[in-house]
Amino acid sequence: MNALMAGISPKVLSTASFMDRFWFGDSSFTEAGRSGDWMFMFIWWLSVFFFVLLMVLMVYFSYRYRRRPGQHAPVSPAHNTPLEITWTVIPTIFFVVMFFEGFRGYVKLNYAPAGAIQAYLLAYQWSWELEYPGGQVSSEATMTSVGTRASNPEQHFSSIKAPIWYFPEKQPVVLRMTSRDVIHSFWVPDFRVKMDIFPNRYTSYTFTPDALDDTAPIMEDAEVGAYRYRDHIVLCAEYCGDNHSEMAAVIRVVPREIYEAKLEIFGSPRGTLAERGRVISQQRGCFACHSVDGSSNIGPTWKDLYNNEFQYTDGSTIRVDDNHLRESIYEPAAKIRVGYPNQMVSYQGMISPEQLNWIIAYMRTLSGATPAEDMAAAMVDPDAQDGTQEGSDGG
Amino acid sequence: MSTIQPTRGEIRTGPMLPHETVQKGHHWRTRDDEFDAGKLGMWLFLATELLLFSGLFCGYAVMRLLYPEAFANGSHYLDWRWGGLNTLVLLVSSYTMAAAIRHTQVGDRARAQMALIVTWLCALAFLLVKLFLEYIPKWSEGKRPGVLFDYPYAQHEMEPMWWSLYYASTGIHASHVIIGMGLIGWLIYRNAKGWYGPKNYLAMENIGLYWHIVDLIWIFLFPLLYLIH
Amino acid sequence: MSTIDTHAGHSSHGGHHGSYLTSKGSLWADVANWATTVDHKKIGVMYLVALLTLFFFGGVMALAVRVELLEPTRTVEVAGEMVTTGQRLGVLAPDGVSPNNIYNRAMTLHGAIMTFMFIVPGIPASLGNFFLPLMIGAKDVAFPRLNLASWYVYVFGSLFALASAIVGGIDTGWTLYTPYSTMTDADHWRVVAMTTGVFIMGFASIMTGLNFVVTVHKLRAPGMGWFDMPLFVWAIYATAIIQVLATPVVGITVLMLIFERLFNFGLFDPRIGGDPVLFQHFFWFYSHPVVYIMILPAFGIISETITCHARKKIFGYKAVAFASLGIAAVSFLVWAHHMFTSQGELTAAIFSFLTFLVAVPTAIKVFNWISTLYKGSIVFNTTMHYTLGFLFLFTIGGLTGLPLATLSTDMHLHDSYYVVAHFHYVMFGGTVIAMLAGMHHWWPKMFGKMYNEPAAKLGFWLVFLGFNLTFFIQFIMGAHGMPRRYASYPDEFQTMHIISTFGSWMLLAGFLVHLFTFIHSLIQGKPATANPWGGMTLEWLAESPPDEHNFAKEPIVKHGPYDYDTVVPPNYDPADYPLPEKPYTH
Repeated sequence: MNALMAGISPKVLSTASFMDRFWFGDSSFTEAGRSGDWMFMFIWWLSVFFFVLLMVLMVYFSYRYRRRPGQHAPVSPAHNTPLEITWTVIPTIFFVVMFFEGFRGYVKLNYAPAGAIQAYLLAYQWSWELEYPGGQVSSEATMTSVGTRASNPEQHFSSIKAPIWYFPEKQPVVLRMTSRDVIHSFWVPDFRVKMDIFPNRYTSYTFTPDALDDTAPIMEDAEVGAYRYRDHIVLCAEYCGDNHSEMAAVIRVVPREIYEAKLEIFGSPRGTLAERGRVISQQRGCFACHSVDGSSNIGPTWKDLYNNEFQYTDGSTIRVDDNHLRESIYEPAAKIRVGYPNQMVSYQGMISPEQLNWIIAYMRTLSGATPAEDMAAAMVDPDAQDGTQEGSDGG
Repeated sequence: MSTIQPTRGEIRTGPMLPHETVQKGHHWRTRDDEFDAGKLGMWLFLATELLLFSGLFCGYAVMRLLYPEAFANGSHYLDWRWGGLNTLVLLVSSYTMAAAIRHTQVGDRARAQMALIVTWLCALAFLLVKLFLEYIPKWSEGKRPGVLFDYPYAQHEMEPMWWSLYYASTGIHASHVIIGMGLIGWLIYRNAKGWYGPKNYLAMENIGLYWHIVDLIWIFLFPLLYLIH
Repeated sequence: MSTIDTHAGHSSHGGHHGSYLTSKGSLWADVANWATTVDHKKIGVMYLVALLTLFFFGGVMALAVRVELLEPTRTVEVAGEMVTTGQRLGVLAPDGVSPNNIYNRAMTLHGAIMTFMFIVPGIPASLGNFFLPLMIGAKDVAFPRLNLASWYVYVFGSLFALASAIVGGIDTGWTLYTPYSTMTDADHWRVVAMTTGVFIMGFASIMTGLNFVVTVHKLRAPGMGWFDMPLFVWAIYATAIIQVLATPVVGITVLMLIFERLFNFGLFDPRIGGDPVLFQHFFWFYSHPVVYIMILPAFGIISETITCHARKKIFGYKAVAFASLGIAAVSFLVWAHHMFTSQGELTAAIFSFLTFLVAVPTAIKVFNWISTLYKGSIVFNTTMHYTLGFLFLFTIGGLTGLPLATLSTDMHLHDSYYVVAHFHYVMFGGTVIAMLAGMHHWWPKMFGKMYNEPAAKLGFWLVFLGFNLTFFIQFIMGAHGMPRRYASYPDEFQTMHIISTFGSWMLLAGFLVHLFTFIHSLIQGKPATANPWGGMTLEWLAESPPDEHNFAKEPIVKHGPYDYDTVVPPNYDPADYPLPEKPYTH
């Protein structure tokens, strides 16, 4: 599956067998996944054997007993009890074996060893929000190759960015998952397991990624230094609407100390208001529906949004200002821009007034707002200086 | 093959009634086959009716397990006396329906007609009780299904769900009663024209079976909705 | 022991009435005659026409889906144009809807039309309607008027669905999973219209099933015991039972969905306390048995064609017959295997086990068919091409189902292209291929005309190769990590998608060839004899095309349906049909 991440991490030279590469692209990156692959290969070779046997017989009979004019067919029995019992019993035995082995593998795939990291995952149309045990949310994202135009990468329609979730190698992880709207399904093809996510119950997803080996690429990171990593793409596997195919995320497996350093960073927003705004927008999944480069998407682009006038479905024309943005984020259904669906849910309670301020500051920078205006925004910010609201270190 | 002998002992002059001259369908070997086929078809249809309602019963069971308080509250809103009255009305109608078939089988057309009319009136009574004593008062108080729910004194947030199931199950049942009334009305009309007699009562028997199923479903609905707290 | 004996039945079995296709004089008289006919043959043909029309619409949607997937982007320019044009017309997707939405609608319409409107009624309502009474020596089905009503109900239901499609279609996926299906396109009637259509068509399905069960019970020709019935009749009988028992459940389910849309009933909507998993249970309680409504008649057809064109008694008649009933029975107990990734362990384990139980009788059938070829006298006409093609494709379809029934591998393959490929191998490679086998087998009987064999064989090879090209690659895609119902996808898969799309065009070419051979046959085909293939079952006793009342005289059954090595088939020249001097003895 690493090939999927062509845009993100370099292709790793695989040591997987030919059949593994033929069927899965690569061998799995978890112990349990590899036992599932073994099961698949067992069924595959069994199937190949029976298929070839049946087809050879079919073709041979068809040729050997082709019709010859003027000749009758040789007389032959129309039933044979021992033979029929044999071909009932043998498949049944194989099926029972498959059932038991399959169930054992299933248990392996779904049970986490003690001491797993317990993270919380919220799925929604059309992105995910993963909270680490300490309350941190990843602020990093990457452009996946999902939904981009291969022939002309500049012309992709959206700037969907997949969040990057860091997890330490060899560390069991359990995701407690629920959905905010419709049914989604969490699938990491590299781990060979998926689990549905429902709006009215919790389900869980378990994996223990393999250790990083020497073939893993090295990331040069200004903040935490160089480290080895391995990316696994996450896809939504239960149809959930328009952008179902673009609900991607990336699980990045890194050494434990890098994981801890990253959590430290996620837990404490820094930089200017606008930079914090960009981070919080990423964390809250705004970019699943809003682009920042003017391209069209589910929601209006943020580029040149602030301080410009737009038509609304109630017939009014409104110049986008702080108060309008506040309303649009907390009560999105109040005013709907012409040409856009009434899709967004309220972020009341999910984005604090302070964070709202950061986001508006960020939007201003996307509209070529002058630094003077930015200053003005900072002055009305009630508690911009006291910084972090969420998160402590942990992990 | 052209005519069928009148019932033994019946002394009558004048032209033959339709039921005495009924022919079998062209593709049947005997009228017995045709009769048996009609019965078998009806039983299969009744199986589909039971399965249709069993879906509703499953939904009821699951929701009741999830929200027992709401469903207990819900049944308190229903007056078992009106439900009981309707049960009684339907039981009587089932009896008269069976009587109509019996009378037809022995060739007593007039009594069969009386029994059919009583059955039809019972069905009407059932619907009137349902509409004027159950649906209209409840609806006007705001005890409505789903999003239409507007009852200010609800004790549990899942009560709209209870009303959804109440209206869905009794509503689908009531629509069966209305269809049954249409069918029984048709029987009354045809019986007046002399279509049914000892040799030709399949339609009446099949509609009778249908009517018993409608009755039976109510016998399930009544305790589920009115009696279990 | 030479042929089926006939005797003078009772007076109502009249003499020669002329073919059922005989014109009534004027065009209007013909239209009126067909519109009010209660003749099972005409109703079968009317069903066939309606089904093929809907198959055409569903196929166009499939091609649109494949074209969209040529590129990994959200959508190609063509679809972009469709959006703008549609918006200008004011019917298609409302303003501001993502271009993916067009794909989602096409994908949903393809699924909904093909399952609910084509493949579920498919073989039973068309070929079954036409041949079930003929094969048991009856003059009609038990309830001819109900039969006609079922056609009108079916057409009425599909009009609802098509109306919904014409004003823009729905984007719920054919499975109509809540809560997405209760939320999408809020305030619009498209979803309600589509589900109403499905609800109405359920009645047509029940009427057909009920009719067939009673027909098989009550209208078999004298001398035909249960185990003298052709296997196609067994298969249709098992199918009819499933139709009667499963359809009411989907009826109440979509009714609840309609209430949900109209009144927010809440049963399936988690926002107001309902449970979407309950919907899935209800839905699959119907929709899994439905898979066998689709495939069992196909099994029946193959049992007929393989014996007839190999001139060989079916191997293990009772095993094949009971396998049909066994599959029908177990089919009601496996529904939750569609939900392995949403269930607790216990449910998953139970349903995985039960699913393997279905695999056993299915495997038995394939073994029996291949053994039937042993020491046969096999002719390679179009029907036999399709029959052997069925065995090839269906075996792949069946074997690739095993990793889906196995829990540990299904966790990976569920809802991926692997599943898409698997059920297309079973539904298309199984049912549609068998239906084509049946149509070529029975075409001379239905319309009294032969078709051009070389052209039809060309059609077969295009369909067969095109199908494999389209779908085999999807197994690999799915295992590599391509989820189903994706309008856009990672670049890695583009090559495989392009191959698949080329395959779909080849498939289209194959179907066009068949369309041409069938039309050509109707206009210019050589007249067919009563029994062109030397078939043994009762339909070959009738004229080609059959009389209005099927048989001139009521047939009496004196031998089994597959006694090819002891009896010269009816209406067949004994000189062309050498019999062994000494039949096989045990």
